[in-house]
Amino acid sequence: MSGRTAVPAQDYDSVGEGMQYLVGMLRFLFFGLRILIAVVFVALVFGGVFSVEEHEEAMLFHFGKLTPKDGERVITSGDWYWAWPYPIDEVRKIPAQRSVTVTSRQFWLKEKETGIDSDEGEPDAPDKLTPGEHGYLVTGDANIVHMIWTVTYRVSDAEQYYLTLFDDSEAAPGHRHSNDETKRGAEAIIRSVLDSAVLSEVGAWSIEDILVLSRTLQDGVRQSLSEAVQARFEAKADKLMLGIAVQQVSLEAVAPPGVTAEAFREVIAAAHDHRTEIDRARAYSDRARADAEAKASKILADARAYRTRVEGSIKADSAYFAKVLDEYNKNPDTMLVALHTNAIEDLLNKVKTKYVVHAKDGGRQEIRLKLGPPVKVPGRTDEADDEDSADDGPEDDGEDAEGGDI
Amino acid sequence: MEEKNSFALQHWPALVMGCVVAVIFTAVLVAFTVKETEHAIKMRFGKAVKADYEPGLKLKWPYPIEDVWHHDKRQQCYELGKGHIEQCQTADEYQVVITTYVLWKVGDPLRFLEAVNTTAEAENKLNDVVRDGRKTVIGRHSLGELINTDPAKVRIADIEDEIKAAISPRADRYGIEVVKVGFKHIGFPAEVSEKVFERMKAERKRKSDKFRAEGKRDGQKIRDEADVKANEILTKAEAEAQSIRAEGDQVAAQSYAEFSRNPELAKFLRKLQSLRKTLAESEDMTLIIDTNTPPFDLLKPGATDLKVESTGNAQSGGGK
Repeated sequence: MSGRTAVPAQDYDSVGEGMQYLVGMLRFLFFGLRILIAVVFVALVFGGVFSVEEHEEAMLFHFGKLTPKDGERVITSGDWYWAWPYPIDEVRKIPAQRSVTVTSRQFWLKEKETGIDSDEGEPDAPDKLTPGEHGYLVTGDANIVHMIWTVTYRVSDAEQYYLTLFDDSEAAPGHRHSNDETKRGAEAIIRSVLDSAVLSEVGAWSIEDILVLSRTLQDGVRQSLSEAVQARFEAKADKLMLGIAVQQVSLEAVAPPGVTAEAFREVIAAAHDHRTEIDRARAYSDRARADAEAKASKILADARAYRTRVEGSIKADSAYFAKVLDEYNKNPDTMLVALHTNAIEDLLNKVKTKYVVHAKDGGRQEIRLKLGPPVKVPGRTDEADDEDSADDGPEDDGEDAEGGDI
Repeated sequence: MEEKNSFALQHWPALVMGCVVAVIFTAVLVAFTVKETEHAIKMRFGKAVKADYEPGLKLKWPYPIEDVWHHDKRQQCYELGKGHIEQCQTADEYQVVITTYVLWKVGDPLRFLEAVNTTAEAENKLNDVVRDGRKTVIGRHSLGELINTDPAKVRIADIEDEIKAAISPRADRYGIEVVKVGFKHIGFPAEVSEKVFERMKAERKRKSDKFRAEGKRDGQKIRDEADVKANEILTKAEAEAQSIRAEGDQVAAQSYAEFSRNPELAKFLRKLQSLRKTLAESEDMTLIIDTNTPPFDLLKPGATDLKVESTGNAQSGGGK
């Protein structure tokens, strides 16, 4: 023992302090570890709580396997649920009740062009359309037309939708596409099916029917283009079992190629002229008919008046004749003279200008009359003219008079 | 023994954390999950040993002894021709440009893994297979089966199915299952589109000319029909009016029988009536009458001799 190396008392003190410091640190770390375990436990308990919103449907995958929750493969209620944290459990929520709109600009002039409202105006007017650069549709009568279509749908079967169609959000990091690129998942599939439905339907329509958005079928039924495309899209979607319910397929914009736009406008103007011409002709027809009916009415009224007049007149004459005849039979000469004299009296009363000529023996005599309007003489008044006119009269001396003669 | 229990009680947090870390580490090494939405193949030293996994937690030897290959088994959309468009010729020798999309999924995971392995490579294979099949099938059909105003003659769906049937066996060699082949675009080569525009303009011109000509024709037709109708109305009215007048004349004729009792007197009275009427309608008339006409015969000498004279002569002139 005497061979032992003596340790200075100062060194013992410094080792003791170091150990104490180390023990203190370890105690602190262990305390922190307890806190961490408690935090992890709390996070484990409460982090697994989830709820399903009204517009959502959810599926619980336990180690990747779809696991029913409360007996339901798809959770639709709004209750609270608990699941183990990932990767043990994974909850996939699908906004099933929310409408989703997918727009296809595949057939517009420029696919990347923004804005689809009609305010955007007509497409540009390139002299030719280059496949891959310019979008368009070929109609049944081999014309070209530009269109933008949208489909609005909601997920009707969340399980089928999620398990059938690729989800772009789950693509491997190296294969994820930016928003500008075409994706491979549900949206790309639905857009492609829409394009196919549009292309198939428009390929069986004439350009005239497309521009008025409807046509008449052989059985006389009027068919809307949007409805026809929607029916075709629904048939394709059902066949592919996409798990969606189509709410609406809409034609957002339609336009003929820019270089032919003027020709189409001319057709519209011609159609307007056609209608105007027909309207004018119908107006003429209505007017002519009304005029004819008015004239016919006048003719009939005149005829009826004539009948009434003739009937009334002849009856009056007949009655008058019967009375006169009775008197005439009693005293013929007196009656005739009376009638004649009365007539002459009436005649003379009505005649403004009358001349009584002494009847000469032999029965022949010449009378000259000055007829026609009075001649205006400069410087003479109308009164003077009237006086002269009043002086005018038959001259039996054979002097010439202005105007004709008898 | 008491010392050990004391140690465990004193250091339980470290033990718990150690166990958790050990379990996780072990699990990462020897366990893997297979999702409902994916295929998984276990590979031992790079060789596939098991592929038909059901979804759930599975075990394997740690890497590098065993590894697991995953691939999504849901339908994916691949659009051919993005960036490079090619023409097809129809049976009636029209050049058309057709863009196609393919809905596909992994049909045979093992074959897919061996033949293509990745989505990108699968799409490359599909590109070749579909282009070839599309050209072959399109060449068997006329343009009228792609576009036609008679819906019954459009056979796009049949052609799509035909292409799918043609390419499915070849795609199957790569473990790819083709679910659907569809057209995204049917168009014409750029040069043809110019011709189409010219034809469209000519058709529009013909159409507008036709509209205007038909407008004039239809308008004239309506006017002519209106004139005919108006004439019919007037003719009918004239006929009816004639009939009405005839009725009046008939009634008058029946009354004329009364005059046959003394025709001479009737004629005389008629003349007087006519004379009165004529004078009533002539406002400005000059009448020259001689003294032989009563009552102006009173102006003649001997008028006081009462001797009855029947009638006189009256001469009337026209209005001045």
